[in-house]
Amino acid sequence: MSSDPNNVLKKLIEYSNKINSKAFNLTRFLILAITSYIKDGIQYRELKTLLNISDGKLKANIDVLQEMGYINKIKVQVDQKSMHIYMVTESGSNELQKIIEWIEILKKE
Amino acid sequence: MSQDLDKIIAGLKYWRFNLKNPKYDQNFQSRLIIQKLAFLCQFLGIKSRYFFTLYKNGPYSPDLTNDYYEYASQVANLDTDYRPTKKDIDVYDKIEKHVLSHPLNKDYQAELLEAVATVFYLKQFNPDYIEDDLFEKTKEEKPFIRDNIIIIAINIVKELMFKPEDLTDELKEELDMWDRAED
Repeated sequence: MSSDPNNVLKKLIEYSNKINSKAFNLTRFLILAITSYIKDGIQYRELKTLLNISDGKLKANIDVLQEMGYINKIKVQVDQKSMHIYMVTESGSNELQKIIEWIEILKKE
Repeated sequence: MSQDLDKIIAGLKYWRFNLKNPKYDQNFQSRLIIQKLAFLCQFLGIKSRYFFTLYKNGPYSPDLTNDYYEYASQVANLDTDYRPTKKDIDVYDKIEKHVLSHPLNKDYQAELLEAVATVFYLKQFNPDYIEDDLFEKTKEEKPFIRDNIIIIAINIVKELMFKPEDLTDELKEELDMWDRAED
């Protein structure tokens, strides 16, 4: 038996209220996903290579995620040089999970 | 603790590494070193269940990350009962001889290991790549690694991948010719 499409839409709309819309643009979603996958932390230069976007766009999106407490910027030493890595926080992981669950509403129905 | 991680700790112990606890956020270099050395160990013949991917920041294994977060103090204290086999030791020796004893390893350990592991991965999955391809693809994946370090890494990988059976009679003859010329 097929699902009631109105019900799916209702679920989609209702669940969307749980998502922080500021975390939900492609770049921010990708940064959250990448930092969740690479638990070791990722360097700025690696993020830039992965996303292939300008420094300005990357920095602006990183700043928003940091302000929201979704990622942390940590100073590290690599080969005696100081640099920064980015790591997802618990609330960042939770937010990513909410987005994934939201998308899965469509998949399940 | 899984024997897969044990084999890596045994290697770190064999190489007399003094790593900081990988669990703490700021000890990024320890995590990077474990990942790249674990990859080299596996691809040189020490079996493990870790699955490594290359894409941009690799070779990287999320399962290995989970293991060293769970057993962080054992890693930091090089605490293992695993007794390396003769084959394990051959691999540890090969890595020590060609990578860890390289002069660049003293000040550029992370960059050198990253370059060697990346070139090794590329060559392993693309045996037809010649040196120019390896350089270009490594630069594409890791534009931040310096050119001279990539070139050195390509030479190191050639040595790591060299098998005695590759030394054919024809090659031996050619090498003997060069030896005689040097005399």
